[in-house]
Amino acid sequence: MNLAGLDFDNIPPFSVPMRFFFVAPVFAFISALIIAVAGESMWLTRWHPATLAVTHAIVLGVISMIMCGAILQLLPVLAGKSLPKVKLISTLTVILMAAGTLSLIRAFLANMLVLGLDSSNSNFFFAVSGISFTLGLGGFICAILWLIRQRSQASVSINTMRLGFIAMLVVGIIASLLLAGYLFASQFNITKQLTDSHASWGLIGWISLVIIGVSFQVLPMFHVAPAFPRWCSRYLPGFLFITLLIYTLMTLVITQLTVIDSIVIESIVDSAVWQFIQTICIGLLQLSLMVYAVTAMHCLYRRKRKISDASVTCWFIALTCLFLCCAISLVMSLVMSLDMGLMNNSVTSVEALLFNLGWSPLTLASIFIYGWILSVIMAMIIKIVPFLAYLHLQRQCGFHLQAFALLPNMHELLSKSRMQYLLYSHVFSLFALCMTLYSPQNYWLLSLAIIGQFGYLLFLMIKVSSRYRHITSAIDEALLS
Amino acid sequence: MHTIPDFMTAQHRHCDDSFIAAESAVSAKKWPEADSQWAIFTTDLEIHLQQEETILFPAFEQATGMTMGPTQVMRAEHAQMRQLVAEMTQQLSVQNKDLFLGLSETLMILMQQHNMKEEQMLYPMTQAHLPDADAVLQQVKAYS
Repeated sequence: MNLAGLDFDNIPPFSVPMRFFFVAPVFAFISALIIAVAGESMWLTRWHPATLAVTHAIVLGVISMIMCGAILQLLPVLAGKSLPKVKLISTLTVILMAAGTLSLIRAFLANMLVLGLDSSNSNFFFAVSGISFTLGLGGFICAILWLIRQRSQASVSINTMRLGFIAMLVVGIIASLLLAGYLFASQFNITKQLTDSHASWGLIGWISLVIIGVSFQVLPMFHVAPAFPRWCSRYLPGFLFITLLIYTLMTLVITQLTVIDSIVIESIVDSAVWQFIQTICIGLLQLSLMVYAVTAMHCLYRRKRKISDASVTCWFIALTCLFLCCAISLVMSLVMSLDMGLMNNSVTSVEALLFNLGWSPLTLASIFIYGWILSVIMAMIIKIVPFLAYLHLQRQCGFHLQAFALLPNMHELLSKSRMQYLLYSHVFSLFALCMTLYSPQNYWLLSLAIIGQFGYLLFLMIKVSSRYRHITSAIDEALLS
Repeated sequence: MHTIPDFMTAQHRHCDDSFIAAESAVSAKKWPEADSQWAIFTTDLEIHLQQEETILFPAFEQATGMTMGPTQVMRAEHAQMRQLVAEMTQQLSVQNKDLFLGLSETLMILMQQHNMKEEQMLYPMTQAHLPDADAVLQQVKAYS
């Protein structure tokens, strides 16, 4: 076991994760604005420019931004490692990720006539976003992967998170292929089918695997719950990763079969076989996530620390949404496969029925993002922000007794009632999203709900930060006296 | 319980049990129960911290030559925990529920992130680097 580089003490300054956290609400506001301007039409198809813009604004500008800030803080605790020149690296990452997300939003929105934007330069904005993300998020992930390059027997969390980081690089590679297909349409033969792989690696590979890795550690420790069973923490993440990989390879094969006119490959294996393997992979991914959701809920239900806690409620909401998304998706896929096998001509009617019931890939992706991922983000951020403020203030005190008297506790930094209000606002946003998905004319309610939720989150973070600054100066004075 | 990580991790979980029992009792304003659970927690915690500071950490430092490294950070965090425990004892004595629970939330996270570092890295490293890990474990077990 290598002791070199073990560094428990070098936690990044309070401002480092906070700069990521403060940028996130800005992208939530931008999303709310786009939802308000785009109106009902963006809820009809996932390919609508506004839908693509909002999805990327939320996933990259809000979720990935907060995750990067939290990862910087978690590494010294989980792996005993921290990035050198962390202030510089974090500032560059925030700037490049923000610039990349803004460019991507601008590029997607170029085709929306109602906005009156110049559509001729969308290629330029796509290229800028590609470069920004490669340097910003890509560079950040590579640096973290380098830090945790040594495989740990003890930490299933770090091993799972490592798979999530590799998945992020795959997201980037597929995004580059899609971008290349868009910018140089004549040279590359990349179809929109790869978009599903891009989304799967992003939502399941990058975000969900990192969350799952963190949950293996955080749920048992902070809520005094039983540890995840060994088969789940050791093998489920790897299984998810490999299944994703096979699914993507099948997509690539199918895509190339249709565009290269490869008689050789087609003659060896019927293309239906590739599609069958791909369907099995999708089913296995859904089943694995359902198994994780049930296992995590079971652990959380058996927690010993039963004291009321908004973050536990957020976790239960998140896991319920994850389970429902995967279960509905799995059942509907089975119904459609069965239908295709028995009566081909009634597929359209089944699809129409499902659509009328509100089921569509857009519905499931929306609930997956807002219900599963953002609920976990809310659960984490209400714990992380006040604790970090406390931790840094306590370190500043050293062993000075007079300074210790100035230390607030976590509830004085962020009260339980305010955490509860943030939870209510999140639940209301989720409700507004469901209303909008069912009936798109409610889009204005969703727009207002997002502004309300993230406005309140921003207000809470500003309050904690200003309290932190105020107490920092008071401690400084006490130390000098 | 044949290894240092197993034994010390079990002690962490044991301390968690009395800690949350005291916290739940305070939350329900069951003060006599809170007092007795808190007494169990503070005693067990202090023994655990002393086992580390007087036996485990010196053995690790001697085996690795790292006297100003991870063990020093762990000692500093022990001091931070002791300071919070003292404040909580004070709030329990005056039966101040809100302040006690605010401090317990703080101690819980401080303690758990400290435990993570020990369980994920320090204990496995101690087990791997000590030439006489079994003998050190016997010393730890004998300490009370």
